Parts: sequence; C-alpha cells; structure tokens
Amino acid sequence: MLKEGKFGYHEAISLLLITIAINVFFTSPAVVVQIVGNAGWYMTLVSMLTAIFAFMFLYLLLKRFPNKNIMEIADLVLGKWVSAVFLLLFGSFLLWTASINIREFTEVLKIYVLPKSPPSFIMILFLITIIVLSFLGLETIARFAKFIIYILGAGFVLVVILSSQNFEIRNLFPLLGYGLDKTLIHGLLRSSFYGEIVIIGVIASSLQGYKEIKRIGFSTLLLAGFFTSFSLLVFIFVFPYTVGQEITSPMYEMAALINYGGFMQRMEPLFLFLWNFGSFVEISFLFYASLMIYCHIFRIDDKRPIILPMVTTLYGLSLIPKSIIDVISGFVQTLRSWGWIFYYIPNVIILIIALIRKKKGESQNV
Amino acid sequence: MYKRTLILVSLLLPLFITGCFDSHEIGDYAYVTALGIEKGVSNTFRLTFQIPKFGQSGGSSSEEESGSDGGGKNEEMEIITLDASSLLSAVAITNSNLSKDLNFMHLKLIVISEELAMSDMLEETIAPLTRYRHIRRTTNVIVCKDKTEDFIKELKPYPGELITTTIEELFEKSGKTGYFHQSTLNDLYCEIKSPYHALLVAYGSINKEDNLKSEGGFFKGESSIPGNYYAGEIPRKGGPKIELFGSVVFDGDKMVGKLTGFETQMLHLVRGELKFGLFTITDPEKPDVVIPLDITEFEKPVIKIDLTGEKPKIHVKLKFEGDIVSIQSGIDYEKPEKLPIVEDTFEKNLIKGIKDTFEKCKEMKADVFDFGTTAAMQFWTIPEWEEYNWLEKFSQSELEVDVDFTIRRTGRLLQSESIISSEGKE
Repeated sequence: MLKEGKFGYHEAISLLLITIAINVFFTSPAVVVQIVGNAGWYMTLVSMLTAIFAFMFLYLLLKRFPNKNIMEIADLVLGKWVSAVFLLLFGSFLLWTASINIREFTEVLKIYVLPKSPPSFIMILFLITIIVLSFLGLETIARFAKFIIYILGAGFVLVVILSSQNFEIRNLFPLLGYGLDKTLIHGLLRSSFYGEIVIIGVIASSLQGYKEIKRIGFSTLLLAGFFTSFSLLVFIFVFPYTVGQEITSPMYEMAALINYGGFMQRMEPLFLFLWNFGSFVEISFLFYASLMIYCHIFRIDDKRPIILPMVTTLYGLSLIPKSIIDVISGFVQTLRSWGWIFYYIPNVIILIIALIRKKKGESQNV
Repeated sequence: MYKRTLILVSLLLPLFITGCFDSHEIGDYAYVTALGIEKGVSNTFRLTFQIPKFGQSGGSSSEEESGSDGGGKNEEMEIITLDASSLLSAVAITNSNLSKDLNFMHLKLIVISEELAMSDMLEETIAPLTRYRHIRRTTNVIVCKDKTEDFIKELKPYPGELITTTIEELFEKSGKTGYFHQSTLNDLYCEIKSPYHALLVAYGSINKEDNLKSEGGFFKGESSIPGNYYAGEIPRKGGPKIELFGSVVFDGDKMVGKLTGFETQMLHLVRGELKFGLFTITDPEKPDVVIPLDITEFEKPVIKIDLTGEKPKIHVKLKFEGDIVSIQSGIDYEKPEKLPIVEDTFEKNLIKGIKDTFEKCKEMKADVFDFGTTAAMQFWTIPEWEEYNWLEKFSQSELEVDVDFTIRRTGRLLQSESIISSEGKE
C-alpha cells in the first residue's frame, strides 16, 4: 500500500514551485504578449496577488480543520455524496490539466527536437516516468523535486545570463502595453496560472500543520510570481512584442539565440533539460494529486492498482486535441483564463458552507 | 527489492530508446553552409546551396586546390543551384538526387540578391525561414549585388580554416570596423515587423578587381573620405574575391537604398554599436594629406527626441576620446594650442557625416538609426504608439548632432620636429 509520507517546507515549496512555474517555458508567454503586449511581466504580478488572495480562503479552511486535507474537509462540510461530486470534478480537472500539459510538452518537443517521433511515442515514454514516480509515492516526488530544483534554477540562471547579450531594454516601451485596463483584467483572469497552489490542500496531511501550509503557500506564490515575472521580462528584452507573440516556445528560442562565437553557441540542450525534468515533476504531481482524490472518493486504500488505468485515461485525454493550435488557443488558453473557477471557487464555497453550518475541525491543542 | 528493480528498469530503459525515430548519424547529412536566394528563371526562386566536403580534408584547403589565380573551380565545395517555388521544394528535389540529405543546422549565411530584395518579396522568401526548425535564427543575412550563385561560388574559406569559421570571423569585423552591418535572420524577422525602426542588412559583392587603376596620373588633391564605397567598388587586388561593405536599407520588407561603408560607420556611431575604430581626417592645414585617429567611445550616445512639435526633433550627443596615430604633414598638432584644431576638425567631420547619412535615410523613409526605440519611451500604450506611426514621422524629423572629441594621447611621439634637408628645415 502506498503511504504519502511526510515531507518538509523545502520539499513542498520545490514541488509546488516547479509545478506552477514550469508553464512559463511553454506557449504561455507568447499568448500573454498577444493579450497585453510587453506588459506581461507585471500582469503576472497581478495574477500572483489574486492567487494569494484566493489562497487565503484555502488557508482559512485548512486552519479551521487542522490536520485534515481538502478531501476530508469536503466530506465533513458537504457530506459524502455532495463532496464526492465536488471532488470528482476537481480531480477530473487536475487530470485534464495534466493531460493538456503533457500534450503541450509533446507538441513543443516535436516542433523543436523530435519532429519525426510520433506524439504517442513521446507521450508513452513520458508516462512511463510518471508511472514509476507514482509507484514510488508522493514523498519521493517531493524529494526528487527538491533535488532537481537547484539544478533547474542553476540552468535557468545560466540561460538568462548568457542571453543578456541579446537584451534590448527599450523593448519594454511603451510601458503599459495594450493598456493598463487590459493588463489588470487579464491579470485577474490569468490568476489560474498560479492555480496549482490549491493542490496544497490535497497534500495537506503530508505537511506539518496549517502554519507550515501558510508559509509554504505564500512563499511558493511569491517565488513563482517573481520567477514568472522575471522570465517574462527577460523574454520581452529579447523579443519585441510584435514578434514575441508569434513564437511557439520563446524561452527555447531565447536559449537558441545565445552566440558567443565558435565555442559558446547552441545552448538550447541546456534548456531542454529544464523542460524535461520540470515537466516530469509537474505532471507527476498533478497526476498523483488527482489519483489521491479519486482514491479518496471511492475509499480505495491502495493506490497502486489505480495507477495504470488512470495513466491510460491520462494518455487518452492527452490525445483529444487535434493540433497544437487546439492545444494553445483552445485548451491552454481556456485553462489559464477560466481555470480559477475550478481552482479557487470550490474552496470558497466549502468555507462559506462550513461557516454557515458551523462545521469546525478539532483544535490542534486538544 | 521491488523498488530497486523499478529503479534499475528506469535507468536501463533510456539505453534502448535513444532517438528511435529521430536518430541520425552525422554522415547522413550534407551540411549547407551558405544559402543563396534570388529570382528564378524557370520557377519563382533560384536557390544555391554551398556544401563543404568536411569529410575529406576538413574543407580547409580549397585555396590550394583551386589554384593561385583565385578564380579556379572550388574543389572542396559542392555548389548546387536550382529553380524551385520554395526552399523546401528545392530541398526535396535536391535530396532526391543526393545520397545525403541537405541539412541547414550549420548554415552560416543567407545571401539574398539585390534584385529580390528590391522586389518586396522578403516576407515571402526569407521571413518563413524562421519557422523552419533546421535554420537557426542566428544565421547571418546579407544582400548581394551580384547573382547569389556567383557570390556563393566565390565564398571560400581562409587558407587553413573551415568555411564556417571564415564566415563567422568575417562578420565579427562589423563590430571592429563598422563598415557593414551584421544582421541575423532573427534581426531581419524582428525588424521587418518592427514599429520602432527599419531593417538594415550588410551589403556584399564580388570584387572584380577592375577598380584598381594602373594607368593614368598619380592621385592629387584632397584625399577622399575613407570607406566611402559600396561593396565591390573598393580599389584593391588580391585577397578574397567577395567583400562585405556598406549596408542595404529596407522600408518594411522592401529594399529602398544603400549606404556606403562610411555612412554605415556613421550610423553605427549613433547607434552606439561602434565602440572603437580608426578614422581618418583631412589635415586641416595641409588638405592633401591626412591624420589617422584611433577613436574610442567615451560615453554611450545620448539621444533625446522632442515630439511636441509637428516635426520630431532629434538631438544626438556623442562623446569620444582618441589618439593620434600619425601626422603625415609633420605639423606639430601635439602642442596644446594646436590639439583643438584636430579635435574640431574631427567633430565637424563626424557631424557632417552623420547629418548627410541622416538626410539620405530620411529620403528613403527608413529609420535605421534606431531613433524609434527612444521615441517609443514617450508613449504609454502600444495603440498610442502605433497610431503615431513613427516610421512615417521619421521622414519629417530634424536632427541636431553634438560631438565632443578629446585627444588623450599622441602615439609614440610627443612632438613633431621638422625634417632637415640641404635647404634647411622644411
């Protein structure tokens, strides 16, 4: 039987930070430039603040029910049947998110690196890793995330430093992009970019109490906000808004532009490393979170028999989009703009009902 | 035990699936190092591929094999030219007749013919190349006066070098002399779509060696402006047949004019892209000789643009310092009271050169000076900026230039003493 185990502050932050921030390496920056021009770097800070505000509700909920995860809280507040519907929706949403991310990863990888490989081949290899990580359990995924985040961080910093030769600071002007109103509205809507923070509620039992959850949540969001904002800033330094919106993976192209003469060029394999390992952590975590929710709904103690069927479902879902256009302008765009409904609203509803019904967990001091 | 087996399987798995579908041996490809694109006769485009034979002798001894006359057959290069409707169709046709597949991963240079550049077809020909994954955005782009096919035939490696190194090193000269502008495929793509500035590309040509006159009287009068040539016009003999000199100016994706090497240098000074270089001024007191100066940028150019009036008013302030390299006339300009004469002459030369270049660019309606990026700072939003239409307003703008030049050192001589002959001191 798989035990989730306990892990600490650093592991949890690493896990959540990679899961949130890895999306900036794919098609999102181009879409952001398309919407707000060169104002993306501070639009994402608006999104981050919105996500912090939304996270407050989850924190209040977890504080009200100490030592309980969101599934247990939902059961207590909504009752088993309503909770099952709620959780099923949320779990399916996480699985759908994971499937979109796998497909986005596959399509981008196919465009830049493996054009002849069938998507299914790339996906199956990817899924094998997810299966292995899932069999090893949440604690292993978290510890792997902590191990890899330093390498990913160093790789990212190296790519940014080397790209500085192509920086054109004046690309930042006109400073307000397509207008402050647009930036604020889309900043609010695209708070879903940070939506994965709510998975902290799913893994709450593996963390050291609500105070630690509060620290982890805020630290992760602040770090992810800073990282995303910095990435978008660097990206706009390299590509003006007219071209930035056209590029499939701006960060990859940025790495490919590094050229310091014969001995220091073609640096994109470095970026490829960030892509692959970051995506492994992100998708494994999303998948495992949905697995945990599913097993909770159907009171399945041993998760292992569920892993393979669920991975098959994940694979099937990831094959649904017809093309990369479907993935980017349809699925990813919908996820980033409207994902907040699934990420944040259920927690608010549960908290309100808990307040109305005066439901409360046991005090930690008891 | 179970976990260990799982880890072992995971570790071994990658060994069996290394690039199943995308694996290729290095020898499967014919690596194209230069690509020429011009208008075709039997189809829309004529494409020329330069493929060095890296396998035999490193592609480094072509000069020796081609003979000392420099015009012989390039034995170490395969040059393939064909007419096709697009690059990809040309590649497919060529591949069908080659034992290898054409590969552009090591493409170093894209040569566009002047005729094609002038025909408003850049967006259809070059811009789509950025979508093609084999071609890197760092590939250099030039516009060539002659047929690209001929140009590529004459593009040979420096003795003892690979052609790729030769091309890379050739383009590094842009930052050292400023006589031509280095632009990559990425620059080209960004600039044809830019509301900030116009596209500037290096100008190349074959030097047929017919500009070096061997007949007629010796040169007399005031020396001409150094570097005031277009590619192919430099009076020289020997060395590589191809030369990059001057730049080509685009309005959008259409070539609208050319700048000489000197004008390109002026442009680079204003853009802050020429940090140091050798400049020559006519001796103010003896105009038939010159004073070469080794100048260094002292401060980054300060550009201010006033958009309040009907016409944009541009003010450029440049600061340089430099050394006297030689004084042909022997006049003692090193003396403190005479140094300002050289400094003033250089400043005036630069102001005139920059203003003349600016006027030329204004006529072409192309802001290759990159003033637009400074103008954009005065706008809050992109719609406001795009509505202002800087590229159109640039042709109405006025330029004011301030140059501050200080001579720091006078070379290895502190003063010039007169030459003494039988007639006494000259």
